[in-house]
Amino acid sequence: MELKANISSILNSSFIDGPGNRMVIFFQGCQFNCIYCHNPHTIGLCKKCGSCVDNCPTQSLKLVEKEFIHEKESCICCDKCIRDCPEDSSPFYQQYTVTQLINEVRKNADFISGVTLSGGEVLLQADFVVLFIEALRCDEELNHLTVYIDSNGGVPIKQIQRVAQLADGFLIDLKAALNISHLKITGQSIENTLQTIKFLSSIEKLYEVRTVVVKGINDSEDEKEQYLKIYSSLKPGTKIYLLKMRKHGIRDKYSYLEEATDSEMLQMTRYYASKGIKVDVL
Amino acid sequence: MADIKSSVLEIIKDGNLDYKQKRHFLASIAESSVDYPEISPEADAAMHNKIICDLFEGNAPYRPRYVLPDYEKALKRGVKYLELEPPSDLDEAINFLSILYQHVPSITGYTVSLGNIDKLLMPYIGELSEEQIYKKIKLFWRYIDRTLPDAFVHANIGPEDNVIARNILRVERELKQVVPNLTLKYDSELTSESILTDAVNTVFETAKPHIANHKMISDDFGTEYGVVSCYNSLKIGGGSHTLVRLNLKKISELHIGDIDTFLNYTLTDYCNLTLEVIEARIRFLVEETRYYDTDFLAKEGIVSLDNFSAMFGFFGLAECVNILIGRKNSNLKYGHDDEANKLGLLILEKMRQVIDAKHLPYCEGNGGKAFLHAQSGIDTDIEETAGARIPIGEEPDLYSHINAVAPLHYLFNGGVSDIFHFDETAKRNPKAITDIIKVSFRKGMRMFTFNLADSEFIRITGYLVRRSDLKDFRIEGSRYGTTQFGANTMDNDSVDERSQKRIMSVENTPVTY
Repeated sequence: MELKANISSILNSSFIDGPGNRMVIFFQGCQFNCIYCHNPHTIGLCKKCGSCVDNCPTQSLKLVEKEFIHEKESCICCDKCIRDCPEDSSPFYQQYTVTQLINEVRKNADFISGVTLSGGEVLLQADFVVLFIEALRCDEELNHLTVYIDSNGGVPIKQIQRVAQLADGFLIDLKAALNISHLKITGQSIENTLQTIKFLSSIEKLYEVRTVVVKGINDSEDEKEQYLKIYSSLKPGTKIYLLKMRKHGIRDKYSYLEEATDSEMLQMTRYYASKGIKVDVL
Repeated sequence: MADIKSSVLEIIKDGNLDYKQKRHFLASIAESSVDYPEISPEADAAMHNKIICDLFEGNAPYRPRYVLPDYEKALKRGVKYLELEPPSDLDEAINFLSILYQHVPSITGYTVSLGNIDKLLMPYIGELSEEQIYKKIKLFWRYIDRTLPDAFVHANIGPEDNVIARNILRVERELKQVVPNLTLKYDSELTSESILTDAVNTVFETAKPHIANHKMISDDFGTEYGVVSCYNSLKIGGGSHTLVRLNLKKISELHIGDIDTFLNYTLTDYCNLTLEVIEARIRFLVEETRYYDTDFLAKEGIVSLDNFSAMFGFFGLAECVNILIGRKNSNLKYGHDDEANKLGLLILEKMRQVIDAKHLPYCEGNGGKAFLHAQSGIDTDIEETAGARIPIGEEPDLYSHINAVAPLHYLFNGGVSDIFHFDETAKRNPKAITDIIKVSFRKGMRMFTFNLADSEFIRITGYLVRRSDLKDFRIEGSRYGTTQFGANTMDNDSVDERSQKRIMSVENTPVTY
């Protein structure tokens, strides 16, 4: 049976996911469970339990022979289906074969510099990613497009190495600098991510490292010192960004999290600047 | 006569106008006191009913609407009338142009063309350092803004990358002036990626320059062309006697019958009436005013009648298509559906065919034919969308938008504009915008103009205003509202709430007394 990828959504044009105007393909499923995740419905895979169907206030969702039927006309887009999903999943993600996904790219090919594969954690579906990039490279109409991978870097280094041979660059989401904060935020150890960053930087395929700043969790003085060590080890030219964690869209159980202020964000960039590292706030 | 007297007094006593603005409007009243050039009763009725409009050019044309002096020739030969010798260095060249600009006529009272400034000034830079050049350009730019205060005064740079063009972009980013309007001519084989990026970064700051598809426009004109006023492409050393435009929405409302009869009768007839008005105005300017025999620019060969033609403008294509298709009980929409877009193309091709079939006198600048121009609207257009644009607030996604309008651009040898809006994220990634510009040119777009959604500058039809200069500017109401402000980005009511402003946009913000 042909390999299929679980795709949560596709964005035809983005200016913030790598160089130039890019198409972004978001893969479903993530091994991290970040407390501030803004798209928690992309974390899990659907087990077809039907709770979303039962919870739908307008009966716009049906599950017939393990396939969802979504009646868009009656749907009021209240998002109750995804908010109440016990798997942090969604009834709306879709499966694509490599050929189907390549055809989606073809629709936008005239307009874009390339494709960014994002998630969820795209490298959980590394077998598919390898086939997809190979197919793109073999396609005469599409082989000029670059492929960037937006990952949390937390998969085994072998997976990274397989894909790194084929991809043009990586954007790595570094959740924290210290293991203790990384565990607190993601539920997973930082080890793989640090290894990934080191490896990608060494082969000059690390395009960007970014961190979401969560007040009181990954912004301590110790943490900043550790970030500085990581940033200082990167090849010059790697873009480094900080983003402010925003409460909009995060799960209710994490509503206690606090947003950093603009001046706190600015202070952080000034700290790195004083050490000779250029860090921008997105 | 009593009416004239009262209008004159009203202007003189209007505290919202400065001295020069009063003089400009007083001259308009004097001009309107003479009879219009002779036209048929049918054409006269169409003008009276605002189906055909000469964009407030006045009853007795005594200067061409758009004049593009051959500044290069003037710099090389000097100008006898102004007692100007050819300059020998950058100071002299800038001084020479500063003087000459003041003597170039137009409808607004201010020249619409400042020339391809980098190309004009490069021969004079000598051994000057970049900082010395920067200082001189900055003062020159301030002079232009303060002495030619009209948003239609337009400068060109490119297609080659050079130190003057770079410093103009730098000064634009610093000064953030409304004047001059600016276009970068872009050709993938001649223009560096780096200056295109510089231009895009300048748009983020000041909502200009526009980017012109040099290769495409050169195919129509040769390389000696200028982009002036509101996206008009015309020959250097020439220009356009007049611009008369046809309201496609109005004629589709008047039309009775199917689409074929619209194309073959209603549209054709009104195109011919528009051409009749154009011809009458040209004949008056050339034969009665004798502009080209008497003005120093013509006498000294800085402009030549042989390089002039006229512009046939139109607006309201979107409404025209939607009305005609709506009568077939279809709700297909211009800009969104292939069939509607194809009808738009059919209408424009028919117009171009009728225009090209008509030989106009004194239009050798385009082989005896008028240029077709997608006219970018004036502030009083409420129900009609500018030129061939998709109505504001109804634009489809970016790719569909480009795919819908690009196939039309080959027809508009007189110029066109479609305005795209990007969000703030573009600022961090100018390459995304240069990608899109290059794609749109490959797809046949003639000009590319964009704004950032929250820019301090706002593009009204084709010229710029500062957000802070506008009182009660209702951008949200117009961009996302329904049809009330469908045509333009400015609340029509606020046009009347004038306060004294140094910079006017006389061409597109008509003030009538």
